[in-house]
Amino acid sequence: MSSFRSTVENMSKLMDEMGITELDLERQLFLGLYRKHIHLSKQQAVAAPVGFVPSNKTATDTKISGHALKSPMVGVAYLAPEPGAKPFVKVGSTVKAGDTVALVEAMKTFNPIKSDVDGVVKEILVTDGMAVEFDTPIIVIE
Amino acid sequence: MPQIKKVLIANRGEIALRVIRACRDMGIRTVAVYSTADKDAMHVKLADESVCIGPAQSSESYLNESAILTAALLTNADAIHPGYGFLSERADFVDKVEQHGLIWIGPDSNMIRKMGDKVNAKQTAIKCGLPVVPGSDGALRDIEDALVWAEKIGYPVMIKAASGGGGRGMRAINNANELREAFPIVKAESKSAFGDDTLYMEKLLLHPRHIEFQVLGDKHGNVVIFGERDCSLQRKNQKVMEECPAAILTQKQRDDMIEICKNAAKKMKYTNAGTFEFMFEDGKFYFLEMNTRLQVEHPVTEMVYGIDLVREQIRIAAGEKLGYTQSNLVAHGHAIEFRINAEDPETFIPNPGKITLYAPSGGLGVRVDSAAYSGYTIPSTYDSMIAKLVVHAQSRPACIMRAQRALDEFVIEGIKTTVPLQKKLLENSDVRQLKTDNHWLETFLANQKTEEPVQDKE
Repeated sequence: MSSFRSTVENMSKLMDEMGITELDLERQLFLGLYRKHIHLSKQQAVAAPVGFVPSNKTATDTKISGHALKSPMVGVAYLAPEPGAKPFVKVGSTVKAGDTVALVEAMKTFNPIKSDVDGVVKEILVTDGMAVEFDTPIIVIE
Repeated sequence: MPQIKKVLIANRGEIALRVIRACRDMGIRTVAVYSTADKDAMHVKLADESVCIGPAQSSESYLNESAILTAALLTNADAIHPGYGFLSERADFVDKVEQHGLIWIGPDSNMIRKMGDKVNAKQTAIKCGLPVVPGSDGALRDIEDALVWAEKIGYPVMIKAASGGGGRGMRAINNANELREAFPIVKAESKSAFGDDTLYMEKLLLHPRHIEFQVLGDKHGNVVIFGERDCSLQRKNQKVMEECPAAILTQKQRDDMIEICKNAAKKMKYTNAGTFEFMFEDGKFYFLEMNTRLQVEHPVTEMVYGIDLVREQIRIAAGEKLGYTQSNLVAHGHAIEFRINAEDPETFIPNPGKITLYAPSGGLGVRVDSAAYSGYTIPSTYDSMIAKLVVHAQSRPACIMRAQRALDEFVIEGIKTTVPLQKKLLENSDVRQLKTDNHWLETFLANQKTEEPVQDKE
């Protein structure tokens, strides 16, 4: 077990160095009896996007219950109107159809992501400044 | 010299795979872009990274310039390879790519612009010493002028309305009497149809073959020309089967044309890959157009010359020198490419759907460029070509034998393909004896229809 601990510690260090924010570590113990699945997640320090949030390829795998608002384009998602400002919505916020809930920047143009339903924000699936693909779910409304 | 470490491939299907493979052979990382219809496509699976750029419709995905540029910037790609089709010959896009500090793997935008315009391309071809279809230099003043030109060009000729197009406002003329008769009629017709009675004249080619020469030029003024491809078997201007070399040519005709093309490409300061397309009739070449991109049929040249054209494109884009000259290029044997489409082999109606079993042919001298696999569903949104079977052998007869073997081996179940047509073509004596031209396949297919009205099954 100690070697696994050091692996996690090493990976964690590496993530800091390389600016990686999320990493899945999987380890299978002897005979496959145990399976460790560790999800490392770090606060993104820089605005520069690192890696894409998986789009529909995996979006169908991880089941989303509720109404997902998806990115209409490839770009960078922002959850607040400007750096440091209050985010458009938080989990639990009430939104009305037409409310802007996020921005996606592509070619220096900010495109508002508007809710098309009334409801409550159930889940925010991206972090501020993350790269998103076409069809990547951004926010789940219920 | 800029180094290319990561390439975004702005295309799909077999050509995206083709580029990914060249990149991997060079240790270059790859980024695939894809539409929602292509999420299970092979190019997405084989690339190091992939970005979904839009919905199925090409205009919103593979032709979506800003989505592709954004994907390139977000993945930190150094260069974009356009493949063929889609954005490959859009000069404005090339400018945008460069404005964003990315390298375009292809000819520069000015070249694409210049050769993309038919009239401009012909002018450039003349300036650079390429033979063109002889014609009146501009409008025919009157019937006397027309008769003089016809005598000079030689019958048969074609008189065409300057404002015409799509087969309208033109007439084939075989002799002076026909010209006297037709001239006022065509003039009146074009006046009423196009509001302009300006007519010009061109030599009429009755049985041209399509023969083309591959160009490679680096950014240091070095140019080489690869021996020719014969792509005369066409249906509705779509090539069906392509060969390298064109066995119909004599060595002298070939050498002369290579020299002419080399001088023209040098004069144009052509960079990266391109193709001079010609019509060939009665021992003479006539410039048709230039394609400022990699072509579908480039593998036949690769097989015969033992060179990776995509690798060369990337090296050239990175600013490297060719490193070889014309005399280093040696042709070995003969190669034929067969385009296998997901179409009914008789009606040519596209047949998208799920491939239940895919087992491509193999063995010595057989290459298959394809993005298909067992269980793959061909989307109906894009073109129907699913595989290119490329066969190489020591000689043309040996190549035909091997091609028959390879076509027999090829198993694609679940959809209809054009493999049966390709087999039929190889059995045909006209094809075997090179008695074909650009119109031959259409005639052959029309005859087939009347001869064999019922033949549903293979």
